[in-house]
Amino acid sequence: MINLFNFESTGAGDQESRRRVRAWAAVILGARPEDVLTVSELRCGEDACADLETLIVLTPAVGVRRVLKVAKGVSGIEQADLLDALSKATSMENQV
Amino acid sequence: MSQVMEKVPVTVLTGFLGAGKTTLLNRILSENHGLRIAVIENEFGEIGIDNQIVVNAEEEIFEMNNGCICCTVRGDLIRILGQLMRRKERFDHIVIETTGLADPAPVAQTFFVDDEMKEALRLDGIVTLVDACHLPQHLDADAEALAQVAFADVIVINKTDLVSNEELEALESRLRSINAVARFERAAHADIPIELAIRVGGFDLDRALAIKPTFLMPEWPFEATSVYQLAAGRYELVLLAGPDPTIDVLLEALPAATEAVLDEAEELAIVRFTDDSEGVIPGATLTPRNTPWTLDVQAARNVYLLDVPVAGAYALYSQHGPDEFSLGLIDAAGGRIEPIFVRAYDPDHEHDESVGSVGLEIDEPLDAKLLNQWMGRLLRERGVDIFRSKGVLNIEGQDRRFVYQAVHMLFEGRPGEPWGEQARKSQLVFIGRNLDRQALMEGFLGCLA
Repeated sequence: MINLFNFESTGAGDQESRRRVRAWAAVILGARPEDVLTVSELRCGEDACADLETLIVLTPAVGVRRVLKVAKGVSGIEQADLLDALSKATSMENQV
Repeated sequence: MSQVMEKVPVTVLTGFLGAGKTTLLNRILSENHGLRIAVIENEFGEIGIDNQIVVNAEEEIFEMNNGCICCTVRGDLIRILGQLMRRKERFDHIVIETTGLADPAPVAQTFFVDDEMKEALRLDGIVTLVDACHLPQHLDADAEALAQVAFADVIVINKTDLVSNEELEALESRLRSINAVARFERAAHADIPIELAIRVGGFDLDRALAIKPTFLMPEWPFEATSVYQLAAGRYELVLLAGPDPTIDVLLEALPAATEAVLDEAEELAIVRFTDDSEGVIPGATLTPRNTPWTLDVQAARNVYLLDVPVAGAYALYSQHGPDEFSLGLIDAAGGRIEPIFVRAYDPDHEHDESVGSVGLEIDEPLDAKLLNQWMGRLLRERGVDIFRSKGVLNIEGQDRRFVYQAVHMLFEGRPGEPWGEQARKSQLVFIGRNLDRQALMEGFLGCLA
């Protein structure tokens, strides 16, 4: 269960982790300065979703959006997780 | 010393076609308000108007994850906001106009999904314009119109010149039954002050609950208030036998015998009326005070003495309508004193909308763990139907309030101001579809420490 009522939380989250993940993702996805990269930690809890997962979305100024999905919170993500997610995403894209 | 960049507030403007959004936007762009505003809207190309900027957006819904409603955002906004954030010049405000049929949820959720976005931008509020003339038909026929009203922090009833006062009152009453916590404004030609339209504070957690007790009460505890102007002295309060053996009354002094004064006073009277009452029998002497009396009215004619210490205005709140007991006030000379006015209340706030508001309040402290389990489960299972919720919570062992807001299942909360000398209580508000007050209250009570 996610602790919604956390009195210790500053609400800022693990910003250092997010910066690190964002930097790795920018390189792995080849983000350009004009593109928008978002890092979202989701806890929606729907049946089809993991309890906690991170979505990294590259929205290019022009072109197709790319999504990397990691079934972990941001603070637990390593560079290898992103490479693995990229491999899965590429595989899915090739099947389409 | 490091300098913290102030977040740019964002206002979302919703409303059906013809509600007056474009008129309001044109005023925002052209009036001399001294603010540098970026407007993201649907119809124009990218053009500059004086010192402002207008950016075209094409609604692009993006389901980030498995079609889950809480992970649905506006892809077009992510792109445009990302570009705006990179610009060298700063904006004082961003206004996003949505199409008439847009669902406000993905727009609002766009601001919660990314930390960089949250660091630079602050969703200030959702303003919904409604056409006083045509909204009633839209509410009957379009789920989007209901959702736009339910999501709103401010509802501007526009084109008021096209309807009668009675129609206007009926419309506002209906809108309040859907969204009891929005601020209401009225305009004939979208001519409300720009500041009121764009400085909303609807997502400000520190202001999360500016809620009136009238809304938090499941029902009015009294059916009528008779307001009198009385000289100092002794009166008789006479009641004939009625449908019940007792009737609760509360007599309080008012600063003046006006409707506006009563508007203010009745909020507190609701709280006081629900305090423990003192039971009395005919012949007892009553005085103005902050706690209610329970009058025995079993005899055919029941007379109580009423001592008024100071001349002035007085409100007599009564559990039942005065007509039911032929309630009357008689002065020392035997003359009947007529009230300046009598206000009747709808006893149970009945309405038939599928979308509505539920407010809950309890004084006892809550157990954080139980609350976390209940709220987590509630938002997971019912989050699709709960459009917005907000609350101020009294958690056991904590000196500070906990404040939160949620849009569907997306939840943002943090410790707020210390309680200090203020009475501790928890208040929750849900706005959504097919809400079951009883079930919500039972769940809430299950979180008591």
